[in-house]
Amino acid sequence: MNKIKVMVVDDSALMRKLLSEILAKDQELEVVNTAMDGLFALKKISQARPDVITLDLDMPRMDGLTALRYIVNDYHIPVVLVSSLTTKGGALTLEGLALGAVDFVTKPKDAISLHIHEVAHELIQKVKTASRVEVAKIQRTEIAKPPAKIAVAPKKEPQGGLLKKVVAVGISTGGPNAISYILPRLPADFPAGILIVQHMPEGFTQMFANRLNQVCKIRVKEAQEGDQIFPGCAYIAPGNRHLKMARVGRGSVVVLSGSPPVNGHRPSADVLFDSVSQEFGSDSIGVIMTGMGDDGARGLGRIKTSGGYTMAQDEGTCVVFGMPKVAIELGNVQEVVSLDAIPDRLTALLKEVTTHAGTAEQTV
Amino acid sequence: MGEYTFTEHELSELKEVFFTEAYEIVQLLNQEALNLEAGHDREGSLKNIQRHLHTLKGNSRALGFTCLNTLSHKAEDLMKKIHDTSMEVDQGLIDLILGMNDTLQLYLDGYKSNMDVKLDERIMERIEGYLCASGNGSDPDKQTATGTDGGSASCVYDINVIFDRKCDMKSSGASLIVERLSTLGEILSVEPSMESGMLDQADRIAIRLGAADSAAPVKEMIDIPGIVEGVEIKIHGGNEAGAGKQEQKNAAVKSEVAQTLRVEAQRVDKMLNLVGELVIGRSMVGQVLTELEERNKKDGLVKRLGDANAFMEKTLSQLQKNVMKIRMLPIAQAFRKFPRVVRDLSIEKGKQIELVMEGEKTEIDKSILDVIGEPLIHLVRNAVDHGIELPEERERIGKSPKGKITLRAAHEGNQIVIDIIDDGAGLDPARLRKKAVQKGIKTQDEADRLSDEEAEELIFQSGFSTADVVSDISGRGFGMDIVRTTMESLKGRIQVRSKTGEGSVFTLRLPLTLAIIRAMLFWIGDRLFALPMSTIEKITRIKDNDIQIVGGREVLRFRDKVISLVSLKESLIVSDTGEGQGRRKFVIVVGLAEKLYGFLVDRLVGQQELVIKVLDNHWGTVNCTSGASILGSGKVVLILDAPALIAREIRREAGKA
Repeated sequence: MNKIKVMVVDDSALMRKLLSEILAKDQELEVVNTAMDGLFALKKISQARPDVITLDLDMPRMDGLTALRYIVNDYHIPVVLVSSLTTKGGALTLEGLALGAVDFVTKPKDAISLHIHEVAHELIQKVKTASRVEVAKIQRTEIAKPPAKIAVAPKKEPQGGLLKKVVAVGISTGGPNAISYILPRLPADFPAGILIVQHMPEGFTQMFANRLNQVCKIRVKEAQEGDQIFPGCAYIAPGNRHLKMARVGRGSVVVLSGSPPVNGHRPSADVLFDSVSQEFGSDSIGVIMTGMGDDGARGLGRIKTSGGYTMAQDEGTCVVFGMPKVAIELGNVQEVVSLDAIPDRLTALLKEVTTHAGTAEQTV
Repeated sequence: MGEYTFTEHELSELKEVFFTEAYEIVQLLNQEALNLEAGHDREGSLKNIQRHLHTLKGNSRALGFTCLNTLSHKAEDLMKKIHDTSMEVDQGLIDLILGMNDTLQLYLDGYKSNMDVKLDERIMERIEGYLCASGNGSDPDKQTATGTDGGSASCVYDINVIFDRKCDMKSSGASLIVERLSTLGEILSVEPSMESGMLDQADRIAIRLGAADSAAPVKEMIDIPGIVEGVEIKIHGGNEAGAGKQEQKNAAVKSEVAQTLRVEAQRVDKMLNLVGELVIGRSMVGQVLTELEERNKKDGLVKRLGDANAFMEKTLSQLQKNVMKIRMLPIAQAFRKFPRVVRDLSIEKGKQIELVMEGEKTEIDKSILDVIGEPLIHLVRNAVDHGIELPEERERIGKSPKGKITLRAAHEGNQIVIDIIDDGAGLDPARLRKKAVQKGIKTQDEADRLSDEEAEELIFQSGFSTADVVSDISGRGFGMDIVRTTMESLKGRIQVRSKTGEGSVFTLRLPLTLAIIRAMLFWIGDRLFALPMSTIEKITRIKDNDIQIVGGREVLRFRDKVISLVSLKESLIVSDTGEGQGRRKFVIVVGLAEKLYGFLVDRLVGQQELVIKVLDNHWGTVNCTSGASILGSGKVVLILDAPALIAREIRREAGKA
């Protein structure tokens, strides 16, 4: 069997060694070369012909983003970003993902000797997954470019409308770009509250939400404990917390939880889907989108059995067709939709449901 | 799937890489701090310091070195603050940064030796003081505040918009971009300016935007298809001109930097060892070949073998040179810390000193490089402390108030020569003589007979200090002792030349490498010995009557000095073959640090390259050898340890007396 050839690019000798050693622990992986900055990386690519590159973004000489542009545009090699858990690191990472990096990992934030297993597991899985991704696919979504019309007009304060519908989204690898595609295309009067679990570390989610808020007609924010959930608002689960919801009186609020990771994730899509199915049942739509693994695949089934509607992003537009695939195989998906069709489909579905629900209310 | 773990070995390897890199970073931080003080490229220095600290922060976190992580994090905050607020960089601030570096180094030392490292609250408080000094310091790791209220710009974006070549309405495109950006904050500048009419010819515009949020969606806002081809954004960055310069520099560096590879020193040593064995093999083949040639002069086959051997020898010596080169590192690594040392010390001493370093690229064997730092530090400190005079004093005697110390390294044959030159007071032979008598090192009579040159060399005697006030830096008299012992162990030599009132020059001569040496082979009785050429001053032939007896010791007049003669035959207890009893003898004059001795030997063989084999401990009892080597003939030659021999000789003399 041919091993997956990996090239490690980082300006720190320690990080190069650390990442290489971790990757070498997996029999399917082989580190073929390392480079200490973007220029060397580009030089070595043609000799080493790696299948995947792990790329540090903060480097001297040619920085990571510049190198990334060349790597994805000229060499079409999938890239896993290695970023530091800082504001700057977060901004660079989001930028990098928009430019076509497949995924990212964060540099170890505690002594690696203590939890080498988690660090190693995440890195190895992400590198393996990335090796199978077609780079052109990420770029095809063109999410780097928001719709020409940008909602810069100040948004109205949420008018405190009653929350009748909830859309719950579970998404992972390739997610930031896909979310950045969907949310700006939703109308300001989108009739449902949107809860999103995007696998992302602490610190990155707030920035992600802020950036989205600047380009969307709907409001986007990082979910905070006790936030009232309004229609026309999207709430992104903060890193390292599970996102749940609860009905309080006539309204609904965000509940965050620090309970243990589910499927290796916190936030976990399964936790969100479970909570939404319990609280909103038939008034909910579950959407499972691009990402590796199977987080959310089972929870989606509970939305379906409680009377909600479930959809999955199609294989063609998924960067990694993992979570949706498992959900489909489990029979938990009612409709498979391509990324570009999701905004309109959601809007249309909610109209249907709203009218349907409206008539139901009348008949009661 | 099994658990991923690191073995002890892997962890210790990682730590090793960490420490190598971290020490390097601290050095670079010192260097950049001094660059910052010099003020050549403020932006660049600040940026580099931040990046180094960032790397150190991330790495120490990964290995769980909390104190290092905390301090480098705090330091990064400080640098960011300096950068963002254009805080004035004065000496106090530089001192703080340097102090920070020292503490980082201390932590490194602590962690490296597995000690319990405690956070130094004082330095943290000092940094905190600067952080709170003015404005609200912002934490680079803190998440950005929500909302854009507050009005004033907290960060600056330098945005470079590259127009789509096909766009034919660049000026309207530009106004659209500027309009959009103005929703994010304040437009500080646009170049070329909107009114200039240059826009339609431009292929890019540079916009500087002040915004409250460091995560503003600048790119998304202005990446307009059909108008914009690409967008480059620098957050908090310097000015456009600076950024452009940086890029040009990058391009220049690109072609210059050689690719590097980090290899464990052990592997190189192993390789060198094998090459050494090959060198022995080469001499063995050479020996056989010579015998064959003598036996069958006309045999074509022998001739072909000779040609093949010549070819192999040539390649082998190239291989040897190249392998040795792997171990060679520029002496700059040892020189690097001197700007800092000189700066700190001259401030402390109230002196003004310019440090000039020359020949930093001169390469030297790593094992020598590792130990040469300490003697150099002593010599440089000495030059600052005792050499260079106070500014007032200098002006009084008509010198420039600013003293000068020059560190110069150069190759000379197979030696490296390092000069430490100062234009200070120089040594005063009269005072040195007096001191020697006071300290009981010499009798008045002996002192009077010393030439000026010999008097100057007194400073290398242990316990000899010339400073009238013993300072804590270099005046304890131990410094020169360390210099001397290190030089001896490296088989190097040290010399001092000085002119009262004009300055001194200390010259260190060191072999380029310690693994393969050029040595002089000679016979004493029936035994073959060798001495490293780097320790040999001269080889001379003398007649019996050249030897004089002074104070019961055999001495020889050599140049204008009187040197002691050592009979190796006695020292090494070699059975006498009666050879060398003739009227003529060979004397090998050996320089040991600053002293000269004459070794009497029977018969010279000649110079040869020897691969040093370290002798096992049980050979240590013959403690006058520093190793052995095998010759092509299979004969073993002992390499003499000149310092040990002389020390023994001195003890023996003392015992006799």
